[in-house]
Amino acid sequence: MTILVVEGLSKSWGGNKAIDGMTFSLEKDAMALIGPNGAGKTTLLSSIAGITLPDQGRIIFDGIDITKTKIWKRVGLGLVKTFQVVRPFVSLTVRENLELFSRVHGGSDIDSVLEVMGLSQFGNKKARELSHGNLKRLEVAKALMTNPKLLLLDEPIGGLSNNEAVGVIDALSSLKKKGTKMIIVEHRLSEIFPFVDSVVVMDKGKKIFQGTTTELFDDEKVREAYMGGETNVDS
Amino acid sequence: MNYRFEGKKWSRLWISISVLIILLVISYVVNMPYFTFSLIFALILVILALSWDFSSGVTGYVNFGLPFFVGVGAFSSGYLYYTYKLPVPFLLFISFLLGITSGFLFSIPTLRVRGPFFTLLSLLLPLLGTDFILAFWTVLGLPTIGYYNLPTLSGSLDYVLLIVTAITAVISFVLYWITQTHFGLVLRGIGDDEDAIISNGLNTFPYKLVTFSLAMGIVSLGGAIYALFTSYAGVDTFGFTFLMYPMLIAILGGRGSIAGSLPAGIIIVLLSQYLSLYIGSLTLIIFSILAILLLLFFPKGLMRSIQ
Amino acid sequence: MISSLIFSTLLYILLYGTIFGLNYALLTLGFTLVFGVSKILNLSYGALYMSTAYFIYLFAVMLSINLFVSILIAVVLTVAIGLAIFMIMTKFARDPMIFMIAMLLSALLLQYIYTYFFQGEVGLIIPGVVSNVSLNILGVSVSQSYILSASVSLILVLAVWLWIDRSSFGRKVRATSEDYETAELFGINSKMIYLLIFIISTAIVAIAAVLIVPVQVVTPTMWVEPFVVAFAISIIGGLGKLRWTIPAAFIISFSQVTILYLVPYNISDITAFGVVIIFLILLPKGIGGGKHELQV
Repeated sequence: MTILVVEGLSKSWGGNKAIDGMTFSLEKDAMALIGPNGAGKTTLLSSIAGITLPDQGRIIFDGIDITKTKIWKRVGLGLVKTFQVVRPFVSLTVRENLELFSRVHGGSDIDSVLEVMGLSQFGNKKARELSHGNLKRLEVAKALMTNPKLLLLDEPIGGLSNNEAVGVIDALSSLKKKGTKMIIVEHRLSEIFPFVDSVVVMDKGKKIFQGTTTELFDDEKVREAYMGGETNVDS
Repeated sequence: MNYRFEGKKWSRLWISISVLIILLVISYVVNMPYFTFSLIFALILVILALSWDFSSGVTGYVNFGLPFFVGVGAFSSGYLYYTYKLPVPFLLFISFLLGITSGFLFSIPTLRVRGPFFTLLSLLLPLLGTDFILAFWTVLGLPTIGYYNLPTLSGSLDYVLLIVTAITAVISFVLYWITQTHFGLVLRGIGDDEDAIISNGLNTFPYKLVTFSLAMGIVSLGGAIYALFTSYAGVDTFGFTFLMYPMLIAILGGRGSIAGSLPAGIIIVLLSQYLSLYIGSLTLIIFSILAILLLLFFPKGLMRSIQ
Repeated sequence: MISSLIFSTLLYILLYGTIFGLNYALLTLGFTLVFGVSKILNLSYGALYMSTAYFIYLFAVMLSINLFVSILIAVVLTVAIGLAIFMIMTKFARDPMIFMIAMLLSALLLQYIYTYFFQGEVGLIIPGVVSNVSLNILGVSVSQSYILSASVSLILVLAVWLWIDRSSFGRKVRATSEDYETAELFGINSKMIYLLIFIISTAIVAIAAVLIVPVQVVTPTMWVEPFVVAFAISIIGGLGKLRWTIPAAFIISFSQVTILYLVPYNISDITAFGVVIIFLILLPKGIGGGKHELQV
């Protein structure tokens, strides 16, 4: 059974269509959602998470229509999104950041979440003392506390150094092995492509491609939208 | 789970409570009625400050509604005494319950909105408090001038001081304990970034509702104590003194610290009582200027700012 | 007989609802303008209104200076006080909580100052631009001051609205209110815009005081009413949304006038509060809906 189905989703901001009749379903375990800037990726992710309400269309998660469900109820169903800009609770320690959510929806074991995300040694540090890479991990760790079935990751390695990025990707891989499904919005394709099973490409609010990574590079439309005319000029 | 209950964190509360006991002893030793009187007044304001700090200081929802709930406590204890001749402990307890109820009723519509909207709405309460009481009381055919000659908490000032001290200590302890539980953790999270909590699956509304209802119950209790202490409950109990002092005390004691309110409250109130002996009716003006300056230049609290 | 009674009642509600609504719209305009542009809640707004009234009393009544000169000085002084508060607070307040509390304290400070220097709580009367003689409109008597203030309100509200909507300065204001960082990238001095908007807002509330206070009395707690009205209306219309100011003002004024007619107690402020609560439950974002930017 597919865990997520999106049907004809549309959302406009002040006359511009950010998402325009988007339809897709999550087939495999990890999916990358890519596209040029302003393609509507973040809006789509926010709509699925319930942060913005779509104008039209339906979102079906785990067999339930959640198009109008409140954010915190969606999380209870097992759907959670991380933020592109990290939002830790700076005055709390790393452990307290996670403990906040320990009593929600059964809650996960804090120590195992810390370990999966490689944050064990920082448990008692204040969040404001962490490096940017560790904050990105904490962002994912917070989401893990809710026992998600599907994790929506908004640029989980954006702004990180290569070493830090590898660390986060490793953590995500071990999560994937444990059966957590995920949708990743990310610009750093080369680093996430080895790890995802399928790709959806958006442009101007519409889906222009869905398939595997190998199929992606053969697709004419994608090349045009994604790389634009510039690559042709160069080559 | 018990790492948060390490001695270090609780020590701040114990310092506060020791301050309280020392003051109690000083008051018995010096035996000056004016000092005892000021101390009782200070402790009543500290009770209000504790509850403001617990609700607004921790969550960041700035609540200007305190004087209204002080009025609820004062008026209801006056009304209950005159109508049913209830004994003092019952008056205090019922005022507390009525405070919780009215805080709950106020919070349901207003806590749905954030930041400035909530603050504006809370400010409407004390501004309209007088109108409310006058209209309501007139409709019920009750006296609008207030209630005089209420039973004092009982005989001697020293005895009153002892009772108020005990109540303050219990409230400090309970509120401090709550901030150290998971519930308190959520409140601090709300103060940091409420959206991040909601989008991670926690419905913050019930937490805020419980917090503000409890806090306003305590404010009402403070109002009832004030009415029984001065043996008068009138429209002027809605005055902004009951907002200005508690907020100033809570902030200068260190926002969200709970433990800091007691020393800060004693210092500020004794200082202003002392000032009013010399400058009389100019006190309010001087004190508001002082309050503005303190807020602007010691926003993190006196101790933390000096450090 | 009965039908003429109903007619005069309806006319009374219609007339006073309109007059109060227009006055309220003017009172709200400055408050909502500042919030829309700079996201600042001017909690000293009502106190500035009161300041104008006390200055007119000081100059025109106590010092017997020509009324129009007094009004001019009063408006200028009010703007100066408002600006001083604004600049001190924006410069020194570290976070929004401190800012709001310090703002409220400065309103209270003004209240205490006027109580101390102007005969305490005693109600004072200030002269109006026109005489207080009432006109008879189809059997309902209306003070000339009310008619003047309603007309000026209508003109000023429409003028400010058009100005923000059409002029090039208005475009800069709207850009700043939407995203001041981007606006600065396009060469707009957003600090200057905030300052100008604050001056305009204070001038508006001072003019409102000049027009409205002569039919009321001047007391140190008079700042409450305009303040309650201004934020009740801004909340119903959605803070910062100029377009919805007049409709929201009419919602408040008509419910107040109707209730005033039905209930023998003066509960107009409570009525405003009740209407706000009802709107908050039904339409938490105001009748304009959407985001809280300066929307014209």
